[in-house]
Amino acid sequence: MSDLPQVPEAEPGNWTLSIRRFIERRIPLAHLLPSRQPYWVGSWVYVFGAVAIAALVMVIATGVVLVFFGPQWWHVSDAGHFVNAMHFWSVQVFFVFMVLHLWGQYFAAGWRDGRAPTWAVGVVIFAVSVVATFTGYIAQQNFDAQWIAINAKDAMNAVGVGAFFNVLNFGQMYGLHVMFFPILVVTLVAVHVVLVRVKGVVKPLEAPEAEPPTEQEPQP
Amino acid sequence: MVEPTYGPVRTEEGSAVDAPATYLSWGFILISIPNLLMIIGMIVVFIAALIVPFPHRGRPPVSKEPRHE
Repeated sequence: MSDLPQVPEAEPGNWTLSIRRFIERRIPLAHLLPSRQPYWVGSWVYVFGAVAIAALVMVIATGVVLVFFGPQWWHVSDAGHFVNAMHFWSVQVFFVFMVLHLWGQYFAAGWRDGRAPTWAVGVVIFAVSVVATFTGYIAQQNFDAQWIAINAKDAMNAVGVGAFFNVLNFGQMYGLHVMFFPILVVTLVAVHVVLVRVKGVVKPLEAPEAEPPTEQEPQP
Repeated sequence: MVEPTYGPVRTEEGSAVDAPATYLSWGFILISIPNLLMIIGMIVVFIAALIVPFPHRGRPPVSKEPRHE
């Protein structure tokens, strides 16, 4: 982008300075925390991604509570039922708004003007989230989870991943669900948000090339 | 002695969420009513997001900072 700060190249061999200069050049704070946005961001369609992230925060928060108290709590006590339900419904909200965000970006061709990595990371987030949720269904510790695992094992074996992704191994599924996948999803979402900040929000297809009047500085 | 209860509280008829969903079929298309309602709801929300005006849109930006898209 043309408004990126001019940062001199680092001396060869100084890798900490090189990384710092790279970050200063490519991800300046003014891009990470912008105080103004173009006029087309004023649309509810741009709220979908933010709602998905809010739901993810709720998923993580309720998940942390569940992992501390365990299935003896979430299947028995009223508070456990409540937090368990919040965890489940937060995931539903996360997926609904992730898909609405996907629809919005698809119809706006959100991959234009160098934003293909942002789109691609979003696709990976969706795929990883599906597997993360799948391990959650298996980690419920009830008959439903057993039924899902017993049926899913044939699918996993059919595609050749059953040896190292054993859905009948509760410890493996639970470990993946409470540690590996949350870290992966949160990391990918962070990368996605940084890419959105670096490249900016894509122009609508019908947006004029000229600067729209509402983007001008207000006259004193 | 009072027996402890495990699992969700159930009535005599059982909870509605424990019952199998009703499915609609049309040719090769087979979908449960809850799934269908979810998809219809998402389409309604998406269309509403395109139509419903966003608050404060069109006002000039207040900040003096340079614009960053």
